[in-house]
Amino acid sequence: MKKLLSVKKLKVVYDSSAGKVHALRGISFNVKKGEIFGIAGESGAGKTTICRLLMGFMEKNAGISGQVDFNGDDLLKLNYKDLYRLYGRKIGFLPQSIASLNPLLTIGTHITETLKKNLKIKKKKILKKKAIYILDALEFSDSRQVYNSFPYQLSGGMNQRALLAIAFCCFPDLVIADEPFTGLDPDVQNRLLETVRILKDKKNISMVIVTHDLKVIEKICDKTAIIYNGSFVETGETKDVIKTPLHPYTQSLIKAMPENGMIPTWGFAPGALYDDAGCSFQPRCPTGSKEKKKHIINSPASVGNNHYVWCLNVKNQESVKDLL
Amino acid sequence: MWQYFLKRILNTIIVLFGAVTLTFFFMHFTEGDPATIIALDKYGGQLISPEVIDRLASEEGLNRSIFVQYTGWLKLICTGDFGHSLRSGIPVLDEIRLCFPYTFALALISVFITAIVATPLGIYSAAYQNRFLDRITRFIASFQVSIPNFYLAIIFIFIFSVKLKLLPSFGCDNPTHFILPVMVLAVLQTGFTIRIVRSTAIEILESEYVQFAFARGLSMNRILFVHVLKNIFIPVLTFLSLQFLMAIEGSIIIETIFAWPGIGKLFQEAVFGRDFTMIQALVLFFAAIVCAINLLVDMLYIFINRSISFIE
Ligand SMILES: Nc1ncnc2c1ncn2[C@@H]1O[C@H](COP(=O)(O)OP(=O)(O)O)[C@@H](O)[C@H]1O
Ligand code: SF4
Ligand SMILES: [Mg+2]
Repeated sequence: MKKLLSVKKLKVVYDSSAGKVHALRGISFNVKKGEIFGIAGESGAGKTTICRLLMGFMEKNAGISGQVDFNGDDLLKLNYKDLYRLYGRKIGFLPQSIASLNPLLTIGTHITETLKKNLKIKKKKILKKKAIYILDALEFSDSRQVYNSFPYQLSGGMNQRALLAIAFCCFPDLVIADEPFTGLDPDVQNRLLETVRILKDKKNISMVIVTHDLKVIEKICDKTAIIYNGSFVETGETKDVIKTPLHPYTQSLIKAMPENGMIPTWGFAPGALYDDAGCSFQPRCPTGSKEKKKHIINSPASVGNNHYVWCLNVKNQESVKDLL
Repeated sequence: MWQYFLKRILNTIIVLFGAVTLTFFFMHFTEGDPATIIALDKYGGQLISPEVIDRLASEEGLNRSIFVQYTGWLKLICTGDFGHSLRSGIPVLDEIRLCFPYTFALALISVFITAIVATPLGIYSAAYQNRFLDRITRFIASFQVSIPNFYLAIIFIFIFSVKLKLLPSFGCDNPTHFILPVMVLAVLQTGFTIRIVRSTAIEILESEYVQFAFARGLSMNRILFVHVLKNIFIPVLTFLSLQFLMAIEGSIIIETIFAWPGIGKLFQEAVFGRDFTMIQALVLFFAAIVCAINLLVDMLYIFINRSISFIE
């Protein structure tokens, strides 16, 4: 499978009145065509920063280094015009909440305006037909009615589904999702995730999903990265990371899931202002916190099947190939 | 929804009743005997005997007790009879009816022009903050806020009528007479309106739905003139209705300067002539307009944005 997105050594430092905020401390990952890459971590870990960068939104106070290669273009080097051409058409965005729907426009208008701009379709009839087609694909019972509805006329779950329709209507190559489907009841969430899976399989769409909800990761992500304080601590196939977590942070996250008793991890993340060589999980780590010596990680341990762990206690089982 | 409107209409009636009562008593405790004034008006500067004044007072019912006069006046109002002007003898309602269209047209045209000019300028200022246009509109707004309307009116008359001799400054015989007073009103309104549109638009530009619109690759114009414009409509409409009311209230000064035959001028003449019935009727009329426009704007909201909540 071809690489669609390749992020290399991405670092983001925000300049703030409190000092240098290390939001991302050099992360790397690849997303292949048709693959869903999940990034999980608690709030403040840097997830939104990743999404914003992938969408080409750069804060004025952000110092950025690294590479974000999308289909041969380095997104960090593109000028505004070329970047803009990618949005909607090549790179789509699935927002978190239904506050992303304009309250005064119908669902139909949201879809048709997107189609019109990105696919250069002019005829109203064709636009409407396409919109109804995508609403049908999202299994609305009455697509025509949804087409003519304003957001306030639909239930929360239906609006979430409408967001999916809008985000996917041009079938972009890559969809970025920042905390999608959080705070929904599990039934609704499951059905939406199922729909996403079907849609992306049908059109071979790649996705990057960023979330603090391991349920979402477990259900639809092919690969997963666990992010802690701006760095990846564990990456690999989702089933490996979730079923055989090796990093103590990943293990604590899994223990904190509702079905595992919701056992919280002791302590707090040191925060993005923390600037110190060495494992930033050490103060909370069951083994590391007992030792005085700093745990400094130079390279991740590879435990096979592209499963990497950034922890000194995990022994290399394979020679680490060039990750990238 | 209907309950809400019923409540609003009831409120309006109470407000109007308060206005009637207040003006009535205020008028009677201010100086100037109305009977003498009528007499002066009728017989000019001749010597007027006290008998004449007494006769006039009893004719107009001015010598009865205040309370009797008050209830009598309330009763009449309820039947739609606002009495005759003490000065001209014409029913006050007829005079108001004759003058109001002039005032209304002035206010409406100026607010309309304000809306057309200020909305796009405000939206662009919001989209391109601190750029050229934004700086210019900020400057103009600060400039306008600090100029009183009569001063601007006099400057305009001086430039366009006296110096350039382009526009008439007096009365209302043909449409060109509208230009100067409308210009004064519109200029005074636009600067502030632009800033209101701008600040509302900035808020909306930061909303999640506009961010999502950008992320979908929509063009700047589509975002500004569909997504933003639709959502600033209600707050801007509120503000414009306020401007409209201010234009009507401000008509007293503007109409005096431009000799405009509207209710502002009528009011000014009534005050200087101590025409009590006319003043009472006009105060009530102004109050009624304020209430009516508020009610109308509320109804428009609901019409435009049916998701507005009725729970108070
Ligand atoms: N524009 C900014 N300026 C300064 N600090 C920022 C900015 N945006 C985010 N941060 C900080 O960067 C860190 C990562 O934030 P974010 O990417 O939003 O994390 P997440 O989405 O995982 O909660 C946080 O400490 C946050 O406070
Ligand atoms: S590197 Fe050391 S401190 Fe960090 S997680 Fe592993 S054992 Fe704990
Ligand atoms: Mg976030």
